[in-house]
Amino acid sequence: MINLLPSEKKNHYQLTSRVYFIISIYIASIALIGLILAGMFGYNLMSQSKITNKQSQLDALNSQAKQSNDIVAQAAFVEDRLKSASQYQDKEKWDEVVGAIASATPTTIQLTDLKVAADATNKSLITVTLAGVSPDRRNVVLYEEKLALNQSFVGPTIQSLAQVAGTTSQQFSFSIQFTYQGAVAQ
Amino acid sequence: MNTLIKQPLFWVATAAFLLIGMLAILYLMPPLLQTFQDNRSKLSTLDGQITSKQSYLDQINTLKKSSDTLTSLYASASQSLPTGAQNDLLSLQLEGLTKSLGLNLAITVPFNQASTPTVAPTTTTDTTGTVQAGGAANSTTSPTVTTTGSQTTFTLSGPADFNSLKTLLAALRSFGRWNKVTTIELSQGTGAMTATVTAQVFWKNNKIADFAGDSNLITKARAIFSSLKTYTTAPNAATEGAFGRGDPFAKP
Repeated sequence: MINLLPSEKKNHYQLTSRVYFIISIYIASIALIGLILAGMFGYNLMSQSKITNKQSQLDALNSQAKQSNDIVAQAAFVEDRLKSASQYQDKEKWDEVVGAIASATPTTIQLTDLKVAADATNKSLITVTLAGVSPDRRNVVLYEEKLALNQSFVGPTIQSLAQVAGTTSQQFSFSIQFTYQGAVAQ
Repeated sequence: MNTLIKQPLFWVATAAFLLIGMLAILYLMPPLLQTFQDNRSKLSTLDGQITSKQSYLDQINTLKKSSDTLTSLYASASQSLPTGAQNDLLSLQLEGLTKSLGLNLAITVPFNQASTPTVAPTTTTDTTGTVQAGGAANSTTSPTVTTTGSQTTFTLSGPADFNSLKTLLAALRSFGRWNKVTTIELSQGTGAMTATVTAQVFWKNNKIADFAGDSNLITKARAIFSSLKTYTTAPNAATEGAFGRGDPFAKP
């Protein structure tokens, strides 16, 4: 096809169409921005309504929870006491500790006193004092050594060992002291 | 391009585009974006809250189904570590304990302590209440009673042999009121053997935090509380006992 328009007019048309093309790009861009804004606005409106719904759902659940106040209070108390158990319950099995002392006692020795006492300031420092009578010195030393084999009984030491005067058969009174370290009585 | 620059329509359109674009980007977009992000975050928070509240309620509903068990565990928990000193109940429990073991021990429990915890430690050496189990004569021991904050020290003393002492110590481990033994004494004098056990019991009047929704609460509580023995029930003047005397000074 041959364009018979004069070149001036032809250039004018070309220029005008280029301007319109640019304007249409502008309009499309603004429309796109407008669409994005409208989309966001719509989403915000929609999510606002969702928030309201969820908030009322949460309020309903909260009020349901409040209706069970008695159960919740009891459960909370039990839960609190469970957490406190380790702090307020005795960890030591004292019956087993005195049992371990009995197991370590030589058959010829008779105990006359047993004292287990926690230190007034340092409760974890527990001193055990044993006193008794033995037919000989050797069994007292054996007793001390046997106690030392138990990892819970730290540093058994003979505090006194003396022959009992005025008895028909030979007898020795003694006392042994050691520290109880706890929880591993054998 | 040179010819385009000379077009006023081009300039008008460009200015209008820039103006509208800038207005939209600078003034409309930021608040919308802010709201968009806020809403998303609110929705996500609410979703989390609803899920956690729902599971909390499920837990509560499970507890409701075993409310009898929970009530019984609550009673045990209240006795193990009560909110007040409850030394009166303690003396009854200790009496029940010694009686059940067939021991004739003097039970010394202080009654002069306030039921609310004292802040400063105090020491008293007298005015102790002595409850005698098994109708035995009063103990000759008069132990020092120490009150420190939220604990009470009690003493059990009297005739007992080694095996009875072991049984007593084992029974104290499963005693309904949590306790810590501080002193054990067994001595053989000229007569019978005498045992003395001193221990501490506690109370705690703290603000209880909200239930955290532990799904294993009943199982855990059963493991700890079901093995405890209380040896007595709390006296209830409304339902037990006989009251009313014409002359309360006359021998009943």
